[in-house]
Amino acid sequence: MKEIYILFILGLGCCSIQAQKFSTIEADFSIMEKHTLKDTSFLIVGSVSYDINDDRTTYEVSFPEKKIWEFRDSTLTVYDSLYKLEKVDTIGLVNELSIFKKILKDDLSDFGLIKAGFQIADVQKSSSSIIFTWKPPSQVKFIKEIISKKDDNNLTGLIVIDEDGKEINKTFYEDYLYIKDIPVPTRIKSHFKGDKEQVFKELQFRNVEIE
Amino acid sequence: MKNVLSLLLFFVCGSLLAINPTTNSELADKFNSGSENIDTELRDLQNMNNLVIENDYDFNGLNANHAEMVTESKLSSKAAAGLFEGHPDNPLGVPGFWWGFCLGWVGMLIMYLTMDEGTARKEQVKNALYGCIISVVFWTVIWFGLIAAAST
Repeated sequence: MKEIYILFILGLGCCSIQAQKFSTIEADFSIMEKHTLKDTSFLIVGSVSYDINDDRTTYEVSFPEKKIWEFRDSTLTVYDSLYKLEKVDTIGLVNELSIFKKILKDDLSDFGLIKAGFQIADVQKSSSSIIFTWKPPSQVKFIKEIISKKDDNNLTGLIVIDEDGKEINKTFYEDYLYIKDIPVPTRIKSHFKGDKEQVFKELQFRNVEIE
Repeated sequence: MKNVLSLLLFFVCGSLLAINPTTNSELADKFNSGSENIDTELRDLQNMNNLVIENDYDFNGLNANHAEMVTESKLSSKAAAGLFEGHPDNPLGVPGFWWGFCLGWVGMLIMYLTMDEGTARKEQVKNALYGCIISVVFWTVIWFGLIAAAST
């Protein structure tokens, strides 16, 4: 029995080492968004990268205007199109809680939901899909539950239901690509329904690289 | 005795399933509509996105060559607008989207618990929610991929 435990622990160690052999994640992205109440729309194009070695997340926006947002240690630095410093903010815990860091350091096994106080309330399975119902912690009053759907082991949908039972957000994860055997949804589409306002949104990823 | 307990267990489980108000198919149906509607609403933006990528346009370039599309869709010329816009009451001045993008669900809770009641907080929580949905799913999918790759 002891040998099995040792093998299991060694196995976990191997997974961790394997996970950490990837130190950078990069992707180009586009965000498209339409607000019905404000009667306006947004298109933002750029790239995002995270490097675990210097613990830095960089967002380079190229459209509609060039901006660079850089998270490093406890600071957020914003640069303009000429890489001229616009502002520096101290943002405390951001990097310690960074989701990118948790992924590469083998510290994110439950989407962060359990640590945030969410609990699985129901699991329903069919031939190819699994649907989870998540209940939020008691202090999150504005969400009644979150429903997620996985098809062929890939997340394909997520619905957020508010305290009144209304679907306030429905999100679809589509067009999966496998990059180094890693499944990546390259289109994430979302519809938000407010009391008066509706927001339609799409996030596209291109040229995803993991090294 | 074991058989009686087994039967009792089956009966209880069956009863629970029977009174469960939300069946598997009802839950699955919730995901069957909506995707095409989003495509319809975003068609113009998708076309403009393709133009920007193909021609490496900035806002002025897109507006100069496709003014009608830009005007009709009321496209914003500022990256700082919309989701990227902050609010004076934000924790440490960081807009909700970035909290969500960086911190996942934790960021959403930070936003919710540290801002005052009111419209501004609701808006920022909503933006944090967007950010965390995007980032949590995107990066956790990669995470599971890493585990899958490690195990093969």
